[in-house]
Amino acid sequence: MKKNRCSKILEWIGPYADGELSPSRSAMIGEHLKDCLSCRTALERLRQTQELIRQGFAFSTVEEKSDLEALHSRVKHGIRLQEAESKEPWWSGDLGSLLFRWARILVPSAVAAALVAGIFFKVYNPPLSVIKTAGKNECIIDSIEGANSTVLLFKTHDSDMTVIWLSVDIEPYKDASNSWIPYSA
Amino acid sequence: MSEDLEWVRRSQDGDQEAFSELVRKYQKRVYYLAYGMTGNREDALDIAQEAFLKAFRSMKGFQGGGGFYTWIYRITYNQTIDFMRKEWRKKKLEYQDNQDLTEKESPIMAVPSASNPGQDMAQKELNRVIMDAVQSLPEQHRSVILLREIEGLSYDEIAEMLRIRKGTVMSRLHYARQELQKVLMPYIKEGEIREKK
Ligand SMILES: [Zn+2]
Repeated sequence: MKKNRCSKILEWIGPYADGELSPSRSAMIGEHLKDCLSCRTALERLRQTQELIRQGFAFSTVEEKSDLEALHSRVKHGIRLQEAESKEPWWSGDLGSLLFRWARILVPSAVAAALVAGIFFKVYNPPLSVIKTAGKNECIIDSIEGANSTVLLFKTHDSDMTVIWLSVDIEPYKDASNSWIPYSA
Repeated sequence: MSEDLEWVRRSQDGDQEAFSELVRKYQKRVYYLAYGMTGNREDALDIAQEAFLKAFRSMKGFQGGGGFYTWIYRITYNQTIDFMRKEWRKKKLEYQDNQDLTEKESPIMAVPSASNPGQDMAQKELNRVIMDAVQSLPEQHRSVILLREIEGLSYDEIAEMLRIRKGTVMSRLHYARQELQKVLMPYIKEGEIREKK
């Protein structure tokens, strides 16, 4: 009879120790514990087990401090990196590199378009927008300036060759590191 | 709690300093959970770091219900489970690779944590026994025991955190404690029991 009662009590001993029982049930278990050594033993074992677990996890303050400092600075650094990556201009990402690869095809097509435009200019003779002359025999037909890159269309007077210069600011965070990549068609 | 909300709102606007405050407030608990689950300080650092970075990335999607604490805890928990599964797979492969090399220490064996000069050997030994016992629990039981004994969460909070029923929390806790008690029995002092009334 008593054993039966004890096994019921033992089921609730954990929640009892954790303060998770209703006041009435908690009081009932408290009453039983007063008279029952074996249930009291079980409760004490549980409490010691809990205490051991907490002990086992306690770091020395020195270790804890150094680990948490390391963690804090690692998170800060990581966030700065993350943010820098997400703020990089579109052309430095996947889309950018894709377009860069396509530039090998697109640029010659642009030349063709420029030549067509040349015919258009010839026929309709609109005021040609010559921005500047880069050399004696070269004439810039047009230039397209973006935030980070510039495309210049040249036409040499002596030949039929059109040269396109693509300027890409490779490192947006450093000044004056423009590099010019020539394409010719 | 209200300061959390303020920091959360500012973090959502990209304020890194505000997020840094959240990290400062919760890093210890996040770290201890990861440490408790893996039993390894280096792994715990990696997991905790990744959990916070993940939180920052998905800050905009955080609705605020349940609080930042529950949210970051859940992220950490999932991160830990991911990590352990990957690690387990890796260790299994390493083990297969190293099976013939009998001289080599088995990679499955736990690596002792870094030195702890302030503690005497006996205490260190005991801590290792305790950590190993916790590590040997199935991960569902391990998480419940950590949230209860180390974090001191209520059953309701644990249930919410792990998205399980309160009854499940109770049964897992019961099982985990019984398992741990079996292992820790040699360290439990019976004398203290008799003296108490
Ligand atoms: Zn009893």
